Amino acid sequence: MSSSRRSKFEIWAEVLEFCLRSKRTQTWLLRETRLKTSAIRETLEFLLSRNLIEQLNEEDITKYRTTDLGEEALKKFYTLVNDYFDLNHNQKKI
Amino acid sequence: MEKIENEENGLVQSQKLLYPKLKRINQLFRIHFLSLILLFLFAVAFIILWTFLLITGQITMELSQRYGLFGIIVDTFMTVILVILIIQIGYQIYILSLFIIKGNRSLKQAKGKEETKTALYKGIVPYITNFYTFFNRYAKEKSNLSKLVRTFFFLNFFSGFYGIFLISRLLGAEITNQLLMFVLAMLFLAMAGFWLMNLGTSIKIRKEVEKWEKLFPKLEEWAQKLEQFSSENSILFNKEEP
Repeated sequence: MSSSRRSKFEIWAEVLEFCLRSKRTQTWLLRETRLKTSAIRETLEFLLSRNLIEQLNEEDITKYRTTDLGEEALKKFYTLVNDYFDLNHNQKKI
Repeated sequence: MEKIENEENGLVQSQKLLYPKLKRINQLFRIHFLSLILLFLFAVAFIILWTFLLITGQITMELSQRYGLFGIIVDTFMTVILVILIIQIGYQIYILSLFIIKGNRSLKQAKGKEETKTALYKGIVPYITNFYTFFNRYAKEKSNLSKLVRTFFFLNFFSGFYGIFLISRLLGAEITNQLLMFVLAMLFLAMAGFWLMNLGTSIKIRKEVEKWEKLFPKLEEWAQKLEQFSSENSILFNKEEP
């Protein structure tokens, strides 16, 4: 992940979000995240090893999609952010 | 098959709540940035005109009339301090522009049909990460971002206060050209207005930055949990934290 100043959590959250609603190819992710090929591979390998994303082969094209577990992790990410801005609290009030 | 978000989905709800909040924060930064740029431009115009009038002898200050050379030295010294303060405003503009340009670019809600289906609130994570990058850069060099914001706030307050003090001395100055006097007065009023606006946004930004400062260690923890993650302990994120 040396290609940018971004830390691991930033890249993981971005990839999980990108793959959440659509299946994405490595090339697409490479373009959107603006990472080096080695860095995006490392990220995908990590997320695959943790079952946070799944690999799908469609007509010889490898695509990635966020799993339910990955979605859960992403939800946690958003909950943390919302908690800090008291947004979850405000929602409960409503 | 693509996942279709529904209104009951907790993730979409979180994004829906967060997106307007981030928009507001971004708007606050933009107003702050704009007021800083305008303050800078008006201050530069003022100082150029001021120096021109002093050099051409069209303006005679009260101090130099009373104390001669000593008065001139004091006037020059005060003008130099004002120039230094203007330079620090320029530095603030540079630092903020790095953050704001990237933030604006990332925080754009997807509008296209295809885009809305695939990424409802596209810019949230990039915006948070942009904030984090900005935060981290200064966390390494200086102690932390809120300290930097406080320093900027102090410098802006001081430079504005000093500027008003310096310019109020115009009342005691003799200017041969009345039109230039009017221009100087208008520049002064504009500077004072944008200075006040800048102070207001600085206070709000300081509060926001303090919140973010507490948030980032939590996000780091989130990343650490992901690292410890394995299919065996997949329940990790489902547990309610105390």
